[in-house]
Order: sequence, then C-alpha cells, then structure tokens
Amino acid sequence: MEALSSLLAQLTNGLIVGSIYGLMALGLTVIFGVLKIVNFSHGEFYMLGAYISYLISQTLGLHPVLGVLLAVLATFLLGMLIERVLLTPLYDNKVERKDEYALLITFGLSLFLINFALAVFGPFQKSAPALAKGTIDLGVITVSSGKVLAALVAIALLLGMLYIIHKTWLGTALRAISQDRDASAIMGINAERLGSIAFGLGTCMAGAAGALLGPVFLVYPVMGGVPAIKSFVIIVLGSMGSIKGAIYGALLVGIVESLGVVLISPAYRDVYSFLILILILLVRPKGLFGGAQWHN
Amino acid sequence: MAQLEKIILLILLAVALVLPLFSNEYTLHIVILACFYVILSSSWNLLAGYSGQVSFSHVALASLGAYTSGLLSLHAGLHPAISILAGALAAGVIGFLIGILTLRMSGSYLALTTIAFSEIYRIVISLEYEITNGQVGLSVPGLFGEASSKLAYYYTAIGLVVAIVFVGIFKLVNSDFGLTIRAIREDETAAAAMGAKVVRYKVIVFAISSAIAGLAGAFLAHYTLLVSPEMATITQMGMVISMAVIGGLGTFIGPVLGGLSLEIISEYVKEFGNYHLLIFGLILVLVMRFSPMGITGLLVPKSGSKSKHISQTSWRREV
Amino acid sequence: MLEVKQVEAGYGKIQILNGMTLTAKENHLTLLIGPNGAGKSTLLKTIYGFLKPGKGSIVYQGKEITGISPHELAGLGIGFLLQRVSVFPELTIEENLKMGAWSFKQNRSRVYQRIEYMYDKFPILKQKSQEKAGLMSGGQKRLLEIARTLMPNPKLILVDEPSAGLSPKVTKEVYRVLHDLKQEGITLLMVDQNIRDSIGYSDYVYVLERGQVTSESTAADIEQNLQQVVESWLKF
Repeated sequence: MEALSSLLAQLTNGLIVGSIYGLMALGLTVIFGVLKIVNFSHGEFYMLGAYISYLISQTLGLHPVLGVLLAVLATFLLGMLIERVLLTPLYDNKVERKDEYALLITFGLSLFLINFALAVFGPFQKSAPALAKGTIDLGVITVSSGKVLAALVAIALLLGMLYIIHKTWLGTALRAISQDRDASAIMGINAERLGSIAFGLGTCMAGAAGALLGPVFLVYPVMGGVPAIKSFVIIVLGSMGSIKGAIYGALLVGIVESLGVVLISPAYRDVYSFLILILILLVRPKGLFGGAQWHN
Repeated sequence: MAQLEKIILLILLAVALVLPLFSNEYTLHIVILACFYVILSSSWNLLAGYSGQVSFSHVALASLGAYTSGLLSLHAGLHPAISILAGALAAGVIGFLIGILTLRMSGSYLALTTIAFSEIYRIVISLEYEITNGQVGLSVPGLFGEASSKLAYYYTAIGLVVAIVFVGIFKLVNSDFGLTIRAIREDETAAAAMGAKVVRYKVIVFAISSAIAGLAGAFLAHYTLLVSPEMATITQMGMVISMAVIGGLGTFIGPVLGGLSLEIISEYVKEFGNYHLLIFGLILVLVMRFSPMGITGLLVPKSGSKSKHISQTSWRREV
Repeated sequence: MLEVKQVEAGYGKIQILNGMTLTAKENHLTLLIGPNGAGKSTLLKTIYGFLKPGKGSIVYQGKEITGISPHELAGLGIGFLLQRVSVFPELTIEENLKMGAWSFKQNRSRVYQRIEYMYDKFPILKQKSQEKAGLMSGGQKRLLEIARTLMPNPKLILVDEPSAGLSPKVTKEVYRVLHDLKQEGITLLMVDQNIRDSIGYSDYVYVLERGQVTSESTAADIEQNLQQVVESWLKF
C-alpha cells in the first residue's frame, strides 16, 4: 500500500512536471518548425522566466500568477529581439552551414545568459513563492495546491498556444512556412518577420515553464540545463517538429522518470530521460511518431 | 596563410623557451593551464572545425581520461607516466564508440546526443562516490611528485605534449585524410558518395580527437593532483568551444591563439570576479555573427568565398 | 505589362542569364521556349525576386521591381506557379486558399468571397475543403495551386512548366484553365517544354538560348517553323 501510494505520488508529480516540460518542448518545436534550427539557449529562457517571475512576486510583492504572465511577455519580446539580432544571417544565405551556425550562436548565447545571471543575481538558489498555498487531498495522496495550479496554468498556456497555431492566420502561416518556405513567400508571407514571432513564441513558452517550475524547484543561474535537455528529449521522442508528438513525448518522459525514481533510484532521476534520448536517436532518429514535417 | 601560421608558431616557441628565465611560478602555472586548454580546443577543432562533427562530449572524454589515469595510478599502482597513456587510450576507445554510434547523425542531433552522453557521465561520476569520491574529487599522485617544487618539469613535459599534439594534428589535417574530413564538413552528401572511406575517417577522427582530450585531462589530473567532476561540466565545454570558435574554427592556428588568449584573459578577469565566461559568451556570439573565422579571419582576410556560392546554389535550385 | 531589360543573373559565379531582354504584353500569353539550361526557369525566379539580378532592370506596369523580395510581389498583383508541387501538404485545402489571401487578410469578407468563388470555379476543392492538401492527386494539387494563386486576383502570373509530371488528360485540363484565365484578362508569362501543346494557346513566343533571347515572333509564325527551331537546338 505504501509502495503504491508512493508510486501514485511520483506519477502525479511526474505528470505535473511533465506537462510544464511539455509547454517548454512545444516552444522548441515551434522554433524548429519555422526556423529549422534547435535553440540551444532554450534552458536560459526558462531560467530568465523563473527570475523575472521571482523578482515580480518576491521583490515587488505581486501575485505569482501575474509574475508568470509578465515573464511570458518579457521572454517573448526578448526572444523576438534576439532572433532579429542573431539569427537573420540564416535567411540571406550568408551562412555556409546553417545548422552549425545556429547551434554555436545559441550555445554562445546560453553561456552568456547563464553568466549574466550569475553576475547579476549571484550563484545562490532562491526559493520563489508558490502559486497557491495549501494542499489538495486526493484520498491516497496529497498534492500541493501550488503545483496543481502551476500545471493548470501550463495546460491553459498550452491550449492557448495550440489555438494560435491551429486556428489563427498567424499560426496557419507559421505552419505554411514550416512546410514550404518558398511557396509561403509567393503567397506574400514575410517569413523573416514571422520567424521572429515564432522564435519569440518559442522562447516565451520556455519562460513560462521556468516561471511555473521556479516555485516547485529552486531559482538559480544554471537551472535551465536539465529542463532544456529534457525538452530536447521530448521533441526527439515525439518527432522533431510534431506538435502532438511533443505533448505525448512530455507525458512519456514524466511517466518514465517517476517510474525510474520509484523502481530504480531517485538519485539518477535525470539520467533516465537522457538515456531515452540516446536510445531514440540511435534506434529511431525520426522519433516515435513519424516524419520530420511539422504536422498537427 | 601557412606562412603566417609558421611565423606565429615560431614566435610562440621562442616565447615558451625564454619564458622560464624571466617569469615567476604563477606565470608558469598559468601557461601550463593555458596549454591544457590549447590541447583541448585544438583537438575539438580537429573534430568540429575540420570534420564538422560538433560534439559536446569532449570535456567529458578529457575527464574520463583523468579518472581512468587517476584510478589506475591509485589502485593498480601504475606510474602516472603510464596511466596517463592508459587514460588517453580509454578516452580514445569511448570516443571511437561514440563515433560509430553517431555516424549518421549531423548538426543538432549529434550535439544533442553528445550533450546527453556527457551529462549522464557527469551525473554518474558525481554520484558513484565509493569509486570516484563524488563531488569532492580524488586525490591522485603527481607526475613528478609535488607540483610546487617540480614546476619546471611539468612545464617542459606539457611543452613536449603540446609539440607532439601540434605536429600530429598538423600532419593529419594536411594529409589526404585531412582533405577528406574537410570535404565531409563542406558537403556531407557529396562526401558520402566517396563511400566507406568517409565512414571510416569520421570514426577515426572522433577516436583521435577523443584520445588527445583524454591525454590532456589525464595530464592535468597528475599536475593539479586532483580529479573532480568539475572538468566534465558544460561550462568547461563552453570554455573549449569559445576558445576554438573565437580563435577561428577550422583553422590550425585558431584554437592555439584562442586558447592562449582566453586563458590569459580569464586569469586577469578572475581578479575582479567570475566574469570571464560572461565575456567569452558575448565574444563567442559576436564572432559567430560578424566574423565566423574568428581572430584568424581578422588576421587573414578571406579571399573570395567559393563555398558560399556553392551552398547558395544548392539551396536555390530547390525553388 | 512586364519588361525585362538586359538582365544578368545566376547562381553564385555561374551566370545563367546573359543580358536577357523581353516583354510580356498585357492580356497576352507569352511563351518562353528553349533548350535545357537556356535560363527559362532562372528568368522567372529572377523576376520573382528569388535571385537578385547582377545587372539590368525589371519593370512592372511602369514600376521598377528589380530586386524586390518575393513576399512583396504578391501584393503588387503578380502570381507565380512553381514547377514543383507547392501546396502546403499539412494544411487543409481551405487553409491553403486562405494563405493565398495573405496579402489582403484584413478584409475578411473579401477572403471568404474569394474562397467561395474558387469553390464555384473548381468544385473538387469545395468537396475536399477540409482535407489535407497532401492527400490530393497530382492534378488536384495543380488546380489548388492555380486557385491559390488566383486568390488575390493577380494581373500577371508567371507559370513554370504547368504540365510537369501530369497525365495527358490533366495537362489538357490545366491548359484549358490557363486559357480561361487569359480570356478573363490575366497576363501570363509561361515557360514550357511541352511546346506542341502550349503553343496553340500562346500569343507571342520568345526563343531563349544560353541566357539570351535568340528569336521572337508571334505564335502563329513560329508554329509553322517549329520543326526548324527545335532542330536548331539539337546542335548544342
């Protein structure tokens, strides 16, 4: 009975955290779909989101949910700006190896942002106020209300993003660019301008995830490393660029991790998903859900 | 280009020879550390800059060399001079295996796999403290006993290692082998048409560069007398990548200039606080954005960019 | 309608257009023919801004459009039918049509009016409006591409090999549609290897060789010496 409730607790936890990682991974997917690059500074937008929300709720004393929303806005604008400044050479064929360029420049950005946070906020771990107080009793297990609210906000943001992608002109155009860039140009779609928006949407989802998980874990400069790799795992698992795949991948990672913690050892929590990543890349590089196209 | 490289190398050699006459122990210590980074960034450049395999497992492999050598010297009683070679061999073998496993991956996929590998490695060595002594690290014997009294020996030894590694890499990249791996970086599909040779070379270059990393890591361990998970962090990888890219990716002299200058800069900056990586990150971004050939690109203006046009053609033809 | 003057362009160091000069007259179907490598498709890509000309100018309705980005040309009333399949495979037919209306998306009532118009014109699109474009047959995809191009009511359409990869029956249908467009007052500038079928629909023909115009005449004239023209290419 105790083993069962511990497993249930871990699974609940895994699903909550998994849904937030799913949001982050969806951001990576949007960027990969439209710009055809992997953002290696994704974890640092997660970190910035966490700090922004921490500063707003702790220093300014505003409600943490407001902190999350402002973190989303700030990381969206920052992402757009960074895309404009750093990634535009990808469009004009000024770069010989686009993949390598994007990889190294976003890695450099990540190095810069981590050490920027170190210089400004110091290396100390800060605990951000939870989104809500108290616990919810689910019979066999109890869950903290803050975590549940974080997961609900994550799901709301996730649904909002899916709405934008599937139901709006902007989202349809983003999907069009991801499927056929030249044809979208002939339709009059300015892929460069929309590329910035796509990058901003992607980074703000990472920012949201950081703002939501900041209170669950702790806030510190290198906090983005593990979630970034986990969202890489999720999108590779769910086929690069597939939106549905990203969501299934997130749930799968959450479940595998919590099973690993209960059945093998909690110390190796992060190793399980990294092993999945390597296995998937070796065995089914196209992911579990088919092709590399950005489909629904 | 080759002329300029020779001149720079000769100047560096001359400085290295006269330096011990004029400088204190602290300076020599910094130079030894700089040599460690120069070896790492040169060997990473061999892999990433020449063959286009941007790997993030390089410092993990250096650390693997360090732990292998450290444990062998502690438990098997091997002299560090031999265990260092064993460390290089171990890193080379694991690099060879990674090379085989990631053969068909390129760009971001290879980067992701190697990041995952090195994170798993780092977590394992941090947690298995019964063997590795965890975060605290292992105390290991010195190559020449106590470091402070034998500094000149270490200085000479790493100088020799650097010389051997340089000659090796230089011969390699200017051989038929070097031409082939550069062709892989320029156009993988075209290079693949050359067949099995390319496959073999990609794996060999992974093994060689990993072995060099293992050698550097093991040497440093028996100089600092400590092996800890610190060497395998992504931050260290960031140092190595910054050095190679800022110096000039895919050039012989680039990582040498990058490694030396960045290590010296970071020693100065550390006086004021831990800002060196902030600066390197910023320069790395600026270099990628505005001068992809790094310092070397500034020294030698690139004449005509043929490859640029080729890539443009291949993209445009798809319209 | 469109004037191309002394245009030079190519891929990197390989120059393909060597001073190309030609005119597409309003309400005409102007056909470009020539051997492989003559620069026919390259010319269309250069007009549409996918390649930047090294020299020369391109003038559309008296306005200089040399070097303008492709996405700006849609708003000027120029359409482009690519040779390859270019529907958005994972978007529905309706979404594909909406993307065709991107340049006037603010005017929603006009967008839906145009979509209804296309559904009337091509009933098969209405039938499948909620299906993904990637699932359609080759001929249906081509019709969708034409409908999508027509969404903003363009005055000029560049057409690159409209019959490429299509069955003879579908090819006929495509030519009929293109002919109707001309009747409706749309100017067409078309590249076609399938000369025997297309020349009957054309008004004026340019023969291109090695990146230059080597001869030009009305379609009726060239139709008589067609054999001779084609044979002259074989000399290369």
